[in-house]
Amino acid sequence: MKHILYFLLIVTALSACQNTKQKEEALQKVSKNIGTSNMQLIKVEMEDHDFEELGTVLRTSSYIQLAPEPLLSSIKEIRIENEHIYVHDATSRIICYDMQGNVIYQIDKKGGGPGEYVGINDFVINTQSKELIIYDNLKLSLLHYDLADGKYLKTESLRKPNPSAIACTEGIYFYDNRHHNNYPNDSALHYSLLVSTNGIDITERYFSHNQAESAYDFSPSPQPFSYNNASIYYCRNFDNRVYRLSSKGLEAMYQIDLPNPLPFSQIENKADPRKMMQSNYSVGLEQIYQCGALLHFQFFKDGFLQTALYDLSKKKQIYCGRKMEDKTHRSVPLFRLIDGVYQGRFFGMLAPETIDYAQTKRGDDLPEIFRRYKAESENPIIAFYEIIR
Amino acid sequence: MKKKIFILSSIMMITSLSLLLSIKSNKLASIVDVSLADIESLANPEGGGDHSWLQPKTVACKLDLGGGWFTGSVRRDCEFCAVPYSCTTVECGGSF
Repeated sequence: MKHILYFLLIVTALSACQNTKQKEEALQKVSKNIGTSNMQLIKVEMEDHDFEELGTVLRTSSYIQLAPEPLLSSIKEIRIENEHIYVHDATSRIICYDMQGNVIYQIDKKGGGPGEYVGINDFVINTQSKELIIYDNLKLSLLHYDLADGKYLKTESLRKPNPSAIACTEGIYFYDNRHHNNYPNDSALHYSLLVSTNGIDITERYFSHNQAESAYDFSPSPQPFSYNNASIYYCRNFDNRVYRLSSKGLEAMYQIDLPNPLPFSQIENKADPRKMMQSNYSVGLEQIYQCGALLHFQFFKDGFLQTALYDLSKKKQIYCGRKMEDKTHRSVPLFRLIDGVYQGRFFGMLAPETIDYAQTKRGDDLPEIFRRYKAESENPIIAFYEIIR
Repeated sequence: MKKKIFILSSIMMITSLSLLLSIKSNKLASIVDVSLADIESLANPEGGGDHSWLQPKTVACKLDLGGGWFTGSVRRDCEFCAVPYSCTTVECGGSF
């Protein structure tokens, strides 16, 4: 009798241990360690003048004029990968161009039927599965299309999470999950960055939500992901630390110390977003692109968009302020903003209204491609900028 | 001896009960989760359009002033939510 009792006691104890072990394993899955050994500190100082010497840093190396048909509406996102340009415009279309600006295909399937979407919240290019995947936040679905010809393949339901933006690198999906209003009791999803290997099941989680940020319905950085060729950088809402995403996990790359950063009390007090955008606080760090030894980023302060260039090799700021241009117009004839980096060059989209303005102001001083441009019937031109060493 | 057996039996009973309760609470949590998922699937607008349940989200945006100048502004996006809500999108710089 005594032996049986001891045996039962041991079995019970072992079972309890097993339960604890399972809980520990589950917790370990929450997040891998974030590497910080290569993180660089970037100290930013505001300059109250325009930067007119952009031509000493960058040189325009080529242009791509996008085909006039279909005529694009305002562009939400532009991505260049594997010699293809993907443009997402405000009418919920994705148009794929070659590097000469010719249309390869377009995905324009708004509707309620199979293979159709209600809206494009974001899209990713999965080079491993050779698919272009659209996230439709109204249908809560991922729609898969063939990357080569845009042919519809399948739809997968993504009930949870409801991300604000998605990214994909090395076949791994990353979801920017700012709020958890739609799943208040599913604490496993109360994290800002969720990782999935198959696009549906969440396998890793980073940055636990804090109550004040989750309760505040304002996003100062509309796009938290910045595409740097094969690498993707991530900067969380209201954060100033930039991480590189990969299948191995996250690596902290830069801590960008902006001047007069937003105090946390403004988030706790749910400050009026319009007033915040006009305030002298720095908010909304995004468009973080590294090209050679140059780092580009932008944010909002004093009601204006502030753009910055930083020399990583000299650990020195080149400029941070409201406007960059080449006053001589020799190296950089026309400049608007930097929208990405591709194969060792920055690129930026020159919108029809920008070219139209330049035509009015400068006329014959512009290069041929801009002089013959018709703003009312043509699509944007993409300019590529190489670094002057 | 009888006393020892009684104490050991009591410990076993308590352990077993606590284990059972833990399993039951896990099951209850998953039932709650499934119910919430059902609510969300009901809210899922299969056909989209006017029946979508949306809530307004204020997002920062850059407003092109021309001539290479940009100002910081806000726009209103409509995002899916699990409870009925009306929302109209407003472009960058628009009033709402």
